Amino acid sequence: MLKKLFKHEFYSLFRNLLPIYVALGVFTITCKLTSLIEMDNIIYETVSGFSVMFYVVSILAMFIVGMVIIITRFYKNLLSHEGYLSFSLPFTATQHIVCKLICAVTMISVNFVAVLLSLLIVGLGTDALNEIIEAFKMMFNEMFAGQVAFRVTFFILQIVLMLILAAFQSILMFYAAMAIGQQFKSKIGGSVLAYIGLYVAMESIMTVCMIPLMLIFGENFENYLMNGGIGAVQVFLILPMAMYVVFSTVYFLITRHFLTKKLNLE
Amino acid sequence: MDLIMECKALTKVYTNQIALSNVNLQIGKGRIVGLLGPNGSGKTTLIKLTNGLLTPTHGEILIDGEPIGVNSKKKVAYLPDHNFLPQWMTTQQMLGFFADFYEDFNMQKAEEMLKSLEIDKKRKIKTLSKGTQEKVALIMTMSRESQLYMLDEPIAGVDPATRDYILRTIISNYSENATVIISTHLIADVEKVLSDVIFINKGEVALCDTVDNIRQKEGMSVDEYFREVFKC
Repeated sequence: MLKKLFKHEFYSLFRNLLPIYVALGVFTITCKLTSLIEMDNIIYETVSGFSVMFYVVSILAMFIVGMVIIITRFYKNLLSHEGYLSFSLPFTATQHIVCKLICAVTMISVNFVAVLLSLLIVGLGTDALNEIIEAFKMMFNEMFAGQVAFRVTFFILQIVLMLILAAFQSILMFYAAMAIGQQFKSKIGGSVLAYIGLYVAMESIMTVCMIPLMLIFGENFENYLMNGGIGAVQVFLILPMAMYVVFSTVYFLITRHFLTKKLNLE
Repeated sequence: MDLIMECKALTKVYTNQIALSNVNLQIGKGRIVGLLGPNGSGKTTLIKLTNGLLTPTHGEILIDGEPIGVNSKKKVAYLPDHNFLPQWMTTQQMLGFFADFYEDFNMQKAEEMLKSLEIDKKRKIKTLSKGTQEKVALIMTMSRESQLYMLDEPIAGVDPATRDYILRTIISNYSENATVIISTHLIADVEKVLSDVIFINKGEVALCDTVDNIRQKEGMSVDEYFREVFKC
């Protein structure tokens, strides 16, 4: 049964993004073609300029529209009149939140991969891409000098995991803000206020948590990171990762509390 | 009596208001029950609690002996007093949605009802008129072969002809041995189909009896008796 919930959630999220995927595909091809063919013609140059502009717009739209879809889907499906249907389905509030969260993070990941692939296709064989690859090679050689392959793989996985945790936290923060905001007369206004409140609280807590680190390392903090190599960076990355896990858990519990105990669909 | 629904000392308190106070109810299987009361009496709160949209402050509700949860939701077909249909879906998609999530959904019955009303399944819900959307919502709910149907104000705000259609649909489509609870304040329209009534006022159960008993004891129709009990 849970599979069906995921099926409907994925469909609801991705159905609006399909035109943007098509646009990205089309403008990736036009950008690639115009970069390969050189013509001294004003019409050609105009078309080429427009295709680059639309390409950039489609990349931006993918991320912006993606976030808008994630937020509106949660709000409409659970907190507006559609919530009468959603919450009378044979699922718990926890299942609804987890399903929406996993589908949303998957969508962000797919968008990220789609944009990365598109950039690679457009940049393939160009000097700019070669220069970027060389710069990365140099950076990696410096960072991973004398490291075993396992350590390198672990570091890359750590970065990917950190990005995923950051996505979970950002989305759950939106969910928690909307869950709190539905208690207000103006649900949207309440949600915006709740988001600001959660953001300020989170930033304050993070700042307070940084104080012990600064006291331990003091002015040597930068030196520690620069001279400690990859190991130092890895140790340092654990802090934001732990923060993401803690805040995600808190936001999840807030959301679940309001959806189970204080649901307001009016 | 074989019970489908039981409320034990059920209380719901909102921030500044008691919506339900110590409600004790027992509703048997195979009945058509009118949940009657003036606006703001607690009818919708009781229905929302039964469907797990609200959590009781005190007390509990049992559906077929089970507390409110995933299992109870499988047994209850709920028609809210708001338009709950996702506007971006077509009626065809809505049929698929109900069939996916409710094992007791009778697709053939739903399609026959849509056909009899000449509702185009390919049209998006948002393009249908308000009245047609209400009919689609009713068809989806009544096409489930549930043990308990909870209909919150199903005939409010519709014309008399549609009112008749809705009542006919309810009576001719609920499953055998199932119980139907209809919340309304339009008593005269529903009285003829009810077997039991529950009067609810200011969050408390004022009366729970069969229609026949009320007529016999009070010598008047339920509608007349309601007007007398709740006279302003």
